[in-house]
Amino acid sequence: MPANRGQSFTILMAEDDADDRLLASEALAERRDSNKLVFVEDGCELLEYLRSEGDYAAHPRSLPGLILLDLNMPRMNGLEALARIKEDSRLCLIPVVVLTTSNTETDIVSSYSLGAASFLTKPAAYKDLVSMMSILSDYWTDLVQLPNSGGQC
Amino acid sequence: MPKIRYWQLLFLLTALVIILNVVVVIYSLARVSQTQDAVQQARQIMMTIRATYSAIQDVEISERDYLLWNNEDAQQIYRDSVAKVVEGVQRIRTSQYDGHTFAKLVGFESLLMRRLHVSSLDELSFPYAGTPSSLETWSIPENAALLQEIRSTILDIEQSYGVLLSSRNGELEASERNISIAVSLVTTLGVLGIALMYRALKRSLARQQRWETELLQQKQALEDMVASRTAALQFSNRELERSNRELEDFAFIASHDLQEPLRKILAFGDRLKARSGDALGENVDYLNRMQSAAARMSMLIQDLLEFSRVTAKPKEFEQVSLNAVLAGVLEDLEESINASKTSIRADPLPDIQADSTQMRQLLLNLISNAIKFVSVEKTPEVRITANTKLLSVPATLSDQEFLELHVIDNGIGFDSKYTERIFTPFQRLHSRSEYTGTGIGLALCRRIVERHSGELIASSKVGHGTDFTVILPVRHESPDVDTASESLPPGTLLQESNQHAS
Repeated sequence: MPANRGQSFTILMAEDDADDRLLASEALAERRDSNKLVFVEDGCELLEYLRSEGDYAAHPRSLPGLILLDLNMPRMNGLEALARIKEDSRLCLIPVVVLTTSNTETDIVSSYSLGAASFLTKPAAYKDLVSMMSILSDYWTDLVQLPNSGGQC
Repeated sequence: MPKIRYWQLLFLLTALVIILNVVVVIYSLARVSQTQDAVQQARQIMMTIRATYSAIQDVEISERDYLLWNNEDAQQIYRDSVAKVVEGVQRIRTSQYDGHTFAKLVGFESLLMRRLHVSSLDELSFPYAGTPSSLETWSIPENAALLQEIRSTILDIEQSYGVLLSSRNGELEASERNISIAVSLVTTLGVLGIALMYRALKRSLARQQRWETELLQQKQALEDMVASRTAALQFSNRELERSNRELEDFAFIASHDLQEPLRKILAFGDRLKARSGDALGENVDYLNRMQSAAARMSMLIQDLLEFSRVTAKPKEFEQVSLNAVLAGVLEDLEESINASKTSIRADPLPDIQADSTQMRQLLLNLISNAIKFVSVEKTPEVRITANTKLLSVPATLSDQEFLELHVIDNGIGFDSKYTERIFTPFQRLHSRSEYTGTGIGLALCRRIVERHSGELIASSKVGHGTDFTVILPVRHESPDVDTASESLPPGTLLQESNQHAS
């Protein structure tokens, strides 16, 4: 299920801020590409989505090709969710990009040590967000060859 | 004047008593020996008198023998006896005798002369060749009466000598009594004095001991007080450090969280402008102003974050080559240096223990400041001088090596009344349209210098450029010195530095 070249895939964004969710979807929409953006609002919902548990038990979703993860979220924060994902052999291959307002040394270091693919700070200007979203989308869709499912972490 | 103690006074008194008694004893002993001499002399005189008396008796007997029996031997005996009498008289004369026996002795002598029928004994030349008087002139009763008179005179003399002797004996006894009294007095007083002295000394020693104990207790109490004060100070110092850190953390977190809504304002403003900019017509100017104000606020918050980060997120001090830092800064500023045609002259800079990032920020801010505020009439010049010197640090009471760095420009300068204001965050002396910037640069510089336990001041005159003086310790005792406990009151080091210079 992870994406291959040319195929469209789902980007799952864990973000508790409604404004940021709106801005992100609008930014991606500027590109009018086929990648779908789905939102969850905190770490718990993210894990339920990925494991088809809780609200998602009735309607299981396919695994996303990329996870955009905010760090500062209610219930379960980004770093803990990241650790859970990387512990799970079914989920550990999904690339996780941390997208947050923080730029402190400790957050950067712990994100990478937990296995984040990248650490990005939310840009202030909308046009910067547009280019960032499009670069992210292109990179994980077209440039990176991800292993087929069943690969080991 | 040294205070005379009780036991010292006692010692002096005892010594005085002993000396006095020694004098009395010596005087008494002298008197005793004198008396003994006088007694001895009196005895000798008595013996001489008796011998003389027996010699005069011999004269009487030998005269009678000669006159009655015409005995030649008797004449010889008579002559010998007369010689003995004369000898005795001479001996008495040479003896020392006291006043009241003198008259009696003179009387004794004249009786002897009468008996010998001479007016003076000196008439009798020796060897005596005279003969006894003739029978016609010789009178038994007269001679007998004379002898009787001589005997009674002798008895009288003996009696007065007896009185004298007994009085002398009394004197002797008195002297002996005096001596024994003196000796026993000295002994008693000496023992008493020594006993009192011992007691006084013991008391004085005990008092001294007590004082020492009290002194020790007071010293201990003082030390305890100092220790408790130190502990209290350390506690309040820690409290201050903690609250200071909390404030810095607060500033850091607040400025971080303030960025968040601002980012949204900017992003949605961009969206509004992109989607409906055309529809707004000339009203889009309001939107532009809003956006630029928001951008400016974002910059201010960014600077505030930077400012609080100097101490909120510090790096450890390391050996930093300021030459390398300066080279990097000049490279970064190359474009603006060339654009303003500024000439930069720099002394070689030393290596110091510091936070390299902050040193870079410090030099960058100071030099870009110098390039920014150039005067239109002059070719911009920036001079960077450096020298190291020993300055005494009040907190440690020791000399420490410091770097004194000057960044001097020939720009527009400023009024000296603003020398402190320029270091306050977001304080500006010029409008934003004249010179760009948020006004955080110099505040940041001062904060960096203070974090390094140094000082930063400026001196300037309008139109004559500005001289920024940076004083930084070359070494730090601990790798990362806390600013809260180490920073000095402003001006301390610079005053010191000026004293050294003059």
